[in-house]
Amino acid sequence: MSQTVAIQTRGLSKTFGRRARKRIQAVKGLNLEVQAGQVYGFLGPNGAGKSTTIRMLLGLIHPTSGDAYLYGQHVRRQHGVLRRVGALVEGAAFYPFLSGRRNLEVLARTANCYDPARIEMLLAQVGLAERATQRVKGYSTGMKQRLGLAAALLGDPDLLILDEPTNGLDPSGMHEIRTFIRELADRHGKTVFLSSHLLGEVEQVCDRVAIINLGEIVREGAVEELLAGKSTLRVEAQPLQRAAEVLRAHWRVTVNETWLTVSARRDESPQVVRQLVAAGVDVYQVTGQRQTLEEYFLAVVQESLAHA
Amino acid sequence: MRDLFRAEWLKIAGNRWVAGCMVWIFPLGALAFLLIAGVILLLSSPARQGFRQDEAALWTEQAIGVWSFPNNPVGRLILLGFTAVVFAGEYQWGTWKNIVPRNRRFSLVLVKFVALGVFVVLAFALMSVLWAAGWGVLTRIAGASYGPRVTAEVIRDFAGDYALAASLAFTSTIIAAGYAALAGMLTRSILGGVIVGFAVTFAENLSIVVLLLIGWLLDIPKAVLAYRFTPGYNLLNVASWISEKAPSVVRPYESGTHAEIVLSDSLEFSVLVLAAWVVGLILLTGLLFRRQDITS
Repeated sequence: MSQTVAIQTRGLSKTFGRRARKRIQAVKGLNLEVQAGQVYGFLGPNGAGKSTTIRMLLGLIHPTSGDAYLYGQHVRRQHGVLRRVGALVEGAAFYPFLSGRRNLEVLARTANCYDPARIEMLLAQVGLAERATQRVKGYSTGMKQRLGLAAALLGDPDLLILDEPTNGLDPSGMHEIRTFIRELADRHGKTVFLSSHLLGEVEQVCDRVAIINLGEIVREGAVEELLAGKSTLRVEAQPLQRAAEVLRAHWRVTVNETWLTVSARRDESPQVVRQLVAAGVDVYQVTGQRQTLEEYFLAVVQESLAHA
Repeated sequence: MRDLFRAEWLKIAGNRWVAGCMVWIFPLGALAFLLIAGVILLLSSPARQGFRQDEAALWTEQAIGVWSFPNNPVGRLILLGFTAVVFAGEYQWGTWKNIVPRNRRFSLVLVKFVALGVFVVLAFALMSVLWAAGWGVLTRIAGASYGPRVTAEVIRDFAGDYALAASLAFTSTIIAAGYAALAGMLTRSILGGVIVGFAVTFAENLSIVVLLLIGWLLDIPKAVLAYRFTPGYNLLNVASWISEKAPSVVRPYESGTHAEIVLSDSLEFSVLVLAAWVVGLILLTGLLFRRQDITS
């Protein structure tokens, strides 16, 4: 993997509103670094500051303070660097009176990268070749989203910034896009900065993630690292309450309807079984469970809210 | 820049409903009028006689006269609406976020002005050809003469006046565009662009009354001279130089010694003021857009 830094932000902040009462600090001193060639997940609840950050990276919103760099170049001072970026921001939006193909032509010409053959290739790649002459106002949300992906890829960018790229897509469409994103990084060496609410999706495609809440990064790291050590054991035993009492002496235990969730690693399961058997508890099943990114995300967000 | 212009052109021409109702309506309206008038002249002998007496005109005047449409209030209002769609439409469709990262903001604004100005001028050029030719057909049906005879001198004079009239229409369109663009960008709405743009145009026309009142109340007769810096007056002044070969005269009173005021007798001064307005409005729009956050 190349060690080039694709995205870097230093103390990036954005405050909306001039009057003190209406002032909202959407992003607070964000420091972020994304290495080239990675698929980087950018997660956060609604209003966390994800879209504002993405818009600052694209030069759409001016930061109140701090700086954003793409490939080492300042976004606002060296606008040309944005030619290396393709983006799909907060739902695809197009000229409704133009066809899909014409929309792509307009965007390509705006960026001085018009190539009819590439437009046809991209339309075919996103499955819109047959509907390319139809006006966009007749497109479904999913079709617009596909066209948005094609638009993002027009200039063969090194960096793709995708904000909720699978919005409005059916499960097979989502799977296609996931595979496509992974291929972009693995085969073509592209960097993908992906913001999504679908945490299962992020977990499947991203190398690293950052979790943002209330305008600040609350966790950042490789997906595997963040979830490592966060595994649990699912224990089915009788009597359940007695089993819980025995195990609580050593681990954190949550009692569910018919099973216990024990904060123990998979390699601790023989010890769990021995403790239970020694206490006269019947053990029916012990299975290792890895914490999902969704569970991790919810825990981190709740924790950050508690500290706020 | 050529590709950027082509992109803007595709958007303007591709919005057929808006371009049809706000730009193509001028040549199409002219064509419809000529067809109806032609049918009436063909069917009615008194109409032909009336035409010979009252409507006989020179083809040079007909071709040039068309260019006054962008300067009249209705023409200006329609063009304000068109400009508001071109600029504020990008907010309404949420498309600024697609194009702003692809090119410099100032270039995006500048090319919008140029493309819509050229688009409007093209429509009026078509209208002037249709109108001059159509009027010739009507004249022929009515049995009147349609001069002047084509000579090198006539063509030379006509070409100069025609170019000046077309430039004036282009300037007028750009100034209306400037008002609507600024208003559209501030309100981020097409309707806001039209309403505020029209209000500014109206206020500009009304400013002569305000200046006259100030002059009368404060006994500063020269206050009215400030009106010569407005685009509206200078457009009239240049138009007057084209058609009358004389400066435009402001007539604030029905009669009396001060019934007529010549604010400026110089064509060059008016051209300079108009150029300053065009450059100023484009720069101001560009500056405003450069500082604006695209949040939609």
